[in-house]
Amino acid sequence: MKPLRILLLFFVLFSPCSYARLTVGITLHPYYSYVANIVGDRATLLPLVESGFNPHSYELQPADLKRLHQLDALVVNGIGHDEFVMHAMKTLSKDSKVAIIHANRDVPLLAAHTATSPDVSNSNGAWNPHTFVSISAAIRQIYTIADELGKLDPDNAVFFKRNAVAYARQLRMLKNRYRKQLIDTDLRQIKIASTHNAYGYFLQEFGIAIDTVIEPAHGVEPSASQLKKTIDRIRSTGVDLLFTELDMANRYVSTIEDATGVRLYHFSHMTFGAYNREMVILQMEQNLKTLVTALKKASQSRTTGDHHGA
Amino acid sequence: MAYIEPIQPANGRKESLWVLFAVVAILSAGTIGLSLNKQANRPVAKAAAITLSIAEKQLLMELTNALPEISFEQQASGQWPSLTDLARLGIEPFANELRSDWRWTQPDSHCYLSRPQTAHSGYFLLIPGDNAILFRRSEPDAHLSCQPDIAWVQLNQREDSSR
Repeated sequence: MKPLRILLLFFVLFSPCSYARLTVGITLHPYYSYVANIVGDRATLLPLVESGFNPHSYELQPADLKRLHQLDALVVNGIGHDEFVMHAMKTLSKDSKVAIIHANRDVPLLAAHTATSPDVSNSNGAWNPHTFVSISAAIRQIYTIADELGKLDPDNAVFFKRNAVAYARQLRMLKNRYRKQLIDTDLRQIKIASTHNAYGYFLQEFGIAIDTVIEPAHGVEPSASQLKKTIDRIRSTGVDLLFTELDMANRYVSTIEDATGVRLYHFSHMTFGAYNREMVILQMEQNLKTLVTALKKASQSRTTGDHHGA
Repeated sequence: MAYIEPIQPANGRKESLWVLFAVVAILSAGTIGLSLNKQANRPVAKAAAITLSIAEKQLLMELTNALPEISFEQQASGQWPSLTDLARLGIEPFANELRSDWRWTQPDSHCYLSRPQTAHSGYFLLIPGDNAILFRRSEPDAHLSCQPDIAWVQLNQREDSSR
């Protein structure tokens, strides 16, 4: 029996599957959760950048480039939130054998929408890259990633696809649990402002558009005159809610809150902290709780006439 | 023989011209660079989808997820799922009991048609076998047989192949 066991162990350790195990890189935290849930224990997951960085202003370091060369595939946002790696890939593309997976390939994108560019027809050709702060857009990305990883590792393609479907179902159930809490809430009149346009896809899932975006560009604070215009607009249009980010100090937000009486709520941008398989579920649930609380209060205020703009 | 050497007046005119030329050159290079950068950042140009209303965009997002889910079911069972199957499987928008703004029909086994229940909304046609989500504002032929005419616009068509 013993030689048979040794033979079996030999086959398990040195079968083609063990050699074909993919090393998959990611650029942003949500993609860690997506890939971890898709591949399970059948691929190695290697974040390109160590946790704790700010994706809005990061530049690739030599250690990151070293990791890049260990990868078989790299999952990217690719539409503006991981430009630090997209620039590097352009220069390395001739020599690099890393397969780039554009997670947003099939996502119906929203136009970039800032205080200086409220044009939703997207005449300037820039897209809102925050598809990861959303459940439906996340699901579309999960399917694309699973498909592309399945092409690179055909032996595990069905396994990846099944995991993707199960993970998508888990995310959808989470969303529906909170959406049901809004059945009796009239959302038609509620107006929303946002410090930067990170929540367009998330609010779209509830049929809500953003009325005002405060920052003139992604991560850029408004000037005094821009701030005054924003305050005037929030007053004149009767904006009910202002959404801003956890983990980011926006000094001007309290000025707006004091000047207009608008209700302030914080959402997770989902790109901070340690890499974690459960991060997307946990932080999306927190965002959903915040959204439901905010919308219910705003609707209640509209009904009772207690709206600050009334 | 007297030699006359022309000397430029020291009034800075030539320098001004050089500075002006440099400014124009820098601005031109910047403009070209910016436009090229914008082109490079256009991975998906879904112009048709951008003009949709917020409710239509919400539906489009759900349909882009439904496409692979329906195909996955078809591969598993060998036949296209019915509307009842889709609702039972929890596939949005077919399973979303909170959405009453579109009503779904299945003109043929392999395609799904939505009819808007509110004014100013359009029609969506989903053909998973062709990986197609189509849209039109005007009412389609009542005898639609999953052969879309030119009035339908494909929303999930990829216009940019440089990705």
